[in-house]
Amino acid sequence: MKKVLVLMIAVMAVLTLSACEKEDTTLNVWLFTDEIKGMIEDYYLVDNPDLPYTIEISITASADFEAKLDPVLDSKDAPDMVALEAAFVSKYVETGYLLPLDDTTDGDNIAQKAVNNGVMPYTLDIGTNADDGVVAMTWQCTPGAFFYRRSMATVTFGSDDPADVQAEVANWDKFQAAATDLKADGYNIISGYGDLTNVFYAGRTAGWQVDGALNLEDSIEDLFILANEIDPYTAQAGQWSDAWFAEMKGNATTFGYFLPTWGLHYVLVPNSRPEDSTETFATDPATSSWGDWGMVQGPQAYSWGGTWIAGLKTTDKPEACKDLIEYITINQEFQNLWVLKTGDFVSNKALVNSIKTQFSMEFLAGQNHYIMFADFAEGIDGSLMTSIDGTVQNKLANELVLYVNSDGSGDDKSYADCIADFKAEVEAALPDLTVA
Amino acid sequence: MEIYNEETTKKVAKKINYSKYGYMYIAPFFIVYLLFNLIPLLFTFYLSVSDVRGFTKIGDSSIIGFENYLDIFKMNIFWEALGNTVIIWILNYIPQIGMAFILAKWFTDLRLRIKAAGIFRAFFYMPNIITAATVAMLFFSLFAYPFGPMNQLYGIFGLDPKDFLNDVWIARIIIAFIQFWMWYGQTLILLMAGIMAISPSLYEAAMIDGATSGQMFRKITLPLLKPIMLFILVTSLIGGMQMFDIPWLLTKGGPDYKTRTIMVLIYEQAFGRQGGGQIYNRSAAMSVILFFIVLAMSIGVAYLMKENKTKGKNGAKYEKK
Repeated sequence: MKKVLVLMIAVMAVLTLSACEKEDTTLNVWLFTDEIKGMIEDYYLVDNPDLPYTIEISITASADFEAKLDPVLDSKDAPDMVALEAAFVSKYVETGYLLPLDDTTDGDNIAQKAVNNGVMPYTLDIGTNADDGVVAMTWQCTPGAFFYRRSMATVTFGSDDPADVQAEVANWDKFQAAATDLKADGYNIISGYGDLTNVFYAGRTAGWQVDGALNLEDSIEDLFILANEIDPYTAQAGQWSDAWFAEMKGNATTFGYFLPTWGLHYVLVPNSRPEDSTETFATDPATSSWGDWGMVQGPQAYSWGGTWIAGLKTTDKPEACKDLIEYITINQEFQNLWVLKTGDFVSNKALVNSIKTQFSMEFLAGQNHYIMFADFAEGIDGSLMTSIDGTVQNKLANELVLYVNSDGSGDDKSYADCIADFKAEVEAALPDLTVA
Repeated sequence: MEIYNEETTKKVAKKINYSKYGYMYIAPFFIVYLLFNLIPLLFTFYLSVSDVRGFTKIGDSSIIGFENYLDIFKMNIFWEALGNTVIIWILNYIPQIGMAFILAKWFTDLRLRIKAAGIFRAFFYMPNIITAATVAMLFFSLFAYPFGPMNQLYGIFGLDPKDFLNDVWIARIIIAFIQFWMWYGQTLILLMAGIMAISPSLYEAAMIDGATSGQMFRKITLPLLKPIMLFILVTSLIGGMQMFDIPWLLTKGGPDYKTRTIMVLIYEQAFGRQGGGQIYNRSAAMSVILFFIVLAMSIGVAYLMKENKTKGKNGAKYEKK
């Protein structure tokens, strides 16, 4: 009896082990938003219904994304493809674990195709690894703009025409003057001083890391002073806080928001009125600001965010990865459909130029946001982005909060102290960086 | 009258054999300890002298000596973190031992005869069984800015809302309070056990000799509680120096990094906070330094407490006059 049992167990073990040896027929894609998921499910799979593998999508919030990916990178548990946010794309590009996309040996040179399409060069630069060439690509270009409330502009500046408003906020000095004017009418120029940082950083001359050393420019002191002076003229809402979102709606007091291409569609538009409401500013100004917005460049050209997509070297389906990347970043038909559906700004000069005159957003009272973004995109300097941006900017933001000291608790921290602590923190967090 | 024949010798021989069962019973513990504690411990020692960082694989790592330790001693942040840990621990421990003593005295006092002492003990111990994460979320919501319950209370009294968790000393005091609240029940139970172990005949003898309550406390209770006090102090020290869950969940080391205890710093170095991280060798080195600090403190405390004891006949300990 015992021998029969042992035999049965042995047979079962062999069967289960053999089941494990079946080939892996899924393409694992790790994302941090459902944007690419929509692309895959509504477009890619529709165009390619007979794939020999299934695409399995896993979405993790971007705050936890790195913590989830780092332990399995370059191991058998790694996914086949990943979406990479601008905050950490450089970090992963530099690891050398991403799949090269301009591998000419099998004829697939996606990077070259992108260049032929007129992709914005800075997006390719960011996705380029020194040894492997282009490893990550994006379909997006993310220039930033300043969105303002037309009704408030009319009251304070006498006009809501973009050209006139731009003249009022053309540089940081004028921006501060405009803040004072707006406050006199009871309006806050921006929701919180935190909105300024991204924009300000775009005005630097070089990135955070130059030749392996921390590059802290003198203009950062200007940022601190500007943030401190503008704080009383803001609604004192932290970025991404509930109050920040609330200020986008009808009855709010905030004049403007600094947001990039995706900010318009995913942040401002949905939050300009309560969910499921179809009211506009004309019909219900108390709750909805839809139709009351205008768009200008603002005091400084900048770019913010963006999502890159890449394959990993450990994948067993490099061709499948490249196919999906090619579809998303180069396929003109797809991008055309995508743009018309979402109004997203793509990194494809040919396509952009051919369609940019077609747009007019009711949300912006008829303004053509596309042609403006196309214009702003020319001013983006991709060389400012480095792999340490996320860490450095977070540590600096911690010090900025203490310097501005909105609620006046405790003593104000001096700029020298802030920078000393900032440097100590950066040194502790990034040991390979030389900190002066 | 013992008869030493073959039968009784066998019985004696059987008695000796029982010890092998004892070893078998404690073997599982040692096996588990070896796998899950000792090997990771030795690995940490290795990491602390190696160059494992970022995506470096263990197989490619090499030993670089004590460079990591020297780097750490030069880091101001490290000393500040130690300072934060000690400050928060002291703020937690003194009220904890004070409160536990007072309550222990009341609950074991024969004259007071507090009823239902057992139920009170259970209530005081309850905060200890709630997980730290839950407690942290509770206090986080309680002190939320601007509309948490505390701020609403402020509003009732006409005060402006205050960002409690962003104020250096208030955040520290809140963390110390949470630790105190969670652990004073445990301390209370230990002290009560210690006091009840003291023979009441000593107190009776003292009362006959005319000792006051205070004298009895100082000359009988306290000295005889020294072993328990030592145990409490050492365990509280070890736990306090390793304080991580509450500071991390409540403030993540802010504001201005002033509630960043040494364990929070170790975690940040290894796993990052808002970026950074993956500096495994420095993190391991800090852990080793923490280990030696706690070891030194424990030995120091034990030495101070046992200073006046000498061994008398039959191993009895008595105080040197």
